[in-house]
Amino acid sequence: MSVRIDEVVCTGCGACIESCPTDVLRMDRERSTAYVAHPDDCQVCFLCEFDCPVDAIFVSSQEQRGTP
Amino acid sequence: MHSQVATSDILVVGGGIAGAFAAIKARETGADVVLVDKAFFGRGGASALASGVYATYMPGDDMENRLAATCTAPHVNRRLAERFILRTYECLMDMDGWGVKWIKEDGVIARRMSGGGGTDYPTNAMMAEGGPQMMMALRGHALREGVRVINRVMITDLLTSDGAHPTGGAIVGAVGIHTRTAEPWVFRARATIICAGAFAFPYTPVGSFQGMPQTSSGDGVAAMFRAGATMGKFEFGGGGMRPSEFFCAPGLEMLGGLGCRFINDAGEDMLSLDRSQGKYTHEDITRGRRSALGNALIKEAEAGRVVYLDARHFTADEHRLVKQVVPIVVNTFERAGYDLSKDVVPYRPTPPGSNGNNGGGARVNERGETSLSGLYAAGNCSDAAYISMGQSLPACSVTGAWAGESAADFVRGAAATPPDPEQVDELIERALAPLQREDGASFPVVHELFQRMYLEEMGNVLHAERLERALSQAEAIRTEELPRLSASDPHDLAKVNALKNFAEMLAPALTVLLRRQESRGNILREDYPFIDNENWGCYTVFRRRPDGGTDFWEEPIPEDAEYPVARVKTGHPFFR
Ligand SMILES: Cc1cc2nc3c(=O)[nH]c(=O)nc-3n(C[C@H](O)[C@H](O)[C@H](O)COP(=O)(O)OP(=O)(O)OC[C@H]3O[C@@H](n4cnc5c(N)ncnc54)[C@H](O)[C@@H]3O)c2cc1C
Repeated sequence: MSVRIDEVVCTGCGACIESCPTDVLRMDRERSTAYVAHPDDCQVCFLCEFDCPVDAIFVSSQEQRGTP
Repeated sequence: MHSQVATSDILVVGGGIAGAFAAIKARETGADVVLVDKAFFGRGGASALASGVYATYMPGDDMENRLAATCTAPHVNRRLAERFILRTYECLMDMDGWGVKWIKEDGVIARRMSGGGGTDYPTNAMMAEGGPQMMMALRGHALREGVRVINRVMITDLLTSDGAHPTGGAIVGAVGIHTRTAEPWVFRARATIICAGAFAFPYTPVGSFQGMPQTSSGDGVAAMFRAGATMGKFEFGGGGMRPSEFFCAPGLEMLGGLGCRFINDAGEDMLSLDRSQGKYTHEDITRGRRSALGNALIKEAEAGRVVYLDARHFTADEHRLVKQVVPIVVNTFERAGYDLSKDVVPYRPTPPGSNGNNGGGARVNERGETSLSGLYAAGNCSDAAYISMGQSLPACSVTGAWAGESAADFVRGAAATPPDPEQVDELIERALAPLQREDGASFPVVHELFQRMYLEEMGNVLHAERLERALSQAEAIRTEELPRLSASDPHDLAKVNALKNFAEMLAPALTVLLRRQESRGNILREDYPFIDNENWGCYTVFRRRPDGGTDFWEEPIPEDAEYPVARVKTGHPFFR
């Protein structure tokens, strides 16, 4: 998966859920943290990571490296 | 059917740079503006992902030199190109006033040489935090100006005054669905401006991002086509090249402008290779057009060589600048383990049409008017009034401003026509239908069919035979799979509708490529290896007929008598 959310750091503010262009993220209501609901749609654009106020998100393009 | 209703003077569909400019300029005249985005205004589309480079005019610039760099083919409308170039400065200063952060030297917006080719002097202004900051600043200004914003609603179709598609009347609004709840929405407006971004082929490297890129399904393009607008400029979609291993922009406006090199795995600096051997020179690539570089990469790929971008010779300051202006590209490289100061990054050519930034759209004039009354288009989903060969942040900002201003003029006199309730119901039902089909064709299955068609039939160098096979496969997928498309939830429903829009535009786009009997830029035709300015100094345009068929015809570039390019046929450098 290309997006990782650190559940300990995430404050559940929802900024990433609001901003993700492909609507990949959702709120886990019980834990009050964001989670990756639609991993296949992540386009590795880093916008959630840029918009996270507490640095809880790490986007990786490593997983995108495949056979050209 | 119960639905949410939003009524306004002007509806803007899509909140990239074109939609932001359209909405703000319309709002400045006092019009009541609703902007709807299927993502989040400021985060959707190509604009928020842009590499932070804005080619701008500044007072004192040599306009002739700039025009010569812009009008490299008879396909550019020189008169409008000049108006466009002049207006970029106003848009630049607007954005500066609205909080877009530019790199400045002594308080003045700094410019660098373009990596995409052209002028003898620097034209490229640079955003200090790239496209992401630019779009949040535009969003902030639009909200302060009182633009009403509705996020996560995907427009699926346009409403017409006669209830018909294609219409003989006017556009009176749009319908859509919420991407999280599938709740239907009805938008009533006296003018509708479509700024929903590019149509492009969903070609991604195997093993990488499999979804439909938000920026390039062509929802707006398809909605305008279905409603009966005349469409144009579908023949030159392409982008040349991108990193081989992951899905991100090539970053070349910035990296090329700073003089990056391309080397191949035979250890050769490609740029020093001689053009007479079919290769390209340093001049072509660092200052040449993107397509020349893409074509050089195709040659290398044909010879079985891998090509790498090499920026190792940049100074530390230059590397810092690149990271600042193109944060997404540099992040992508870094996270994949590439450090531009130490590593070279493999690049490869992209097949025609697979890049989102210069495909076709609705035919518009310099007022942003389409062929339908009440319908305006701007940015990547318009043909940008033929102001340049490609589309870019400057082209999208200026066409957005043009469309916003003239739509505001239009609504001052226009009465509101209520939509036809039967049409509303029918269009919403159609958008929701995939939710009802339980074992139909799913998004990944149909998406893969297109990808395979693309990989197997298109190739980097086109030929009528392969294009015809691609066209018949595209038609087979359209007629057999689209009526069976199924969606498991509202999120999937939005994806499936986007895929349907893409699929509906694919056949006309391939037909336009087939009709064009020449090579140009990085549209390379094995069967027509020449640039034909004698016969193909024109565009193919098309429009849907009431019987469901499509009419195609060729149109000269309007209002542009003086072509700077000789009307002759010459060999395309790729085939030399
Ligand atoms: C990765 C990348 C980097 C680039 N870098 C540069 C650069 O540095 N300089 C440059 O000049 N050009 C650059 N370009 C080109 C430039 O970014 C585009 O030409 C421009 O941003 C397009 O703007 P737009 O407003 O027309 O469309 P977009 O920015 O794509 O916006 C379209 C909007 O419409 C919304 N939308 C789509 N469908 C619907 C629907 N059905 N209903 C409602 N809303 C919808 C989308 O969510 C999106 O917000 C780049 C392009 C890419 C892809």
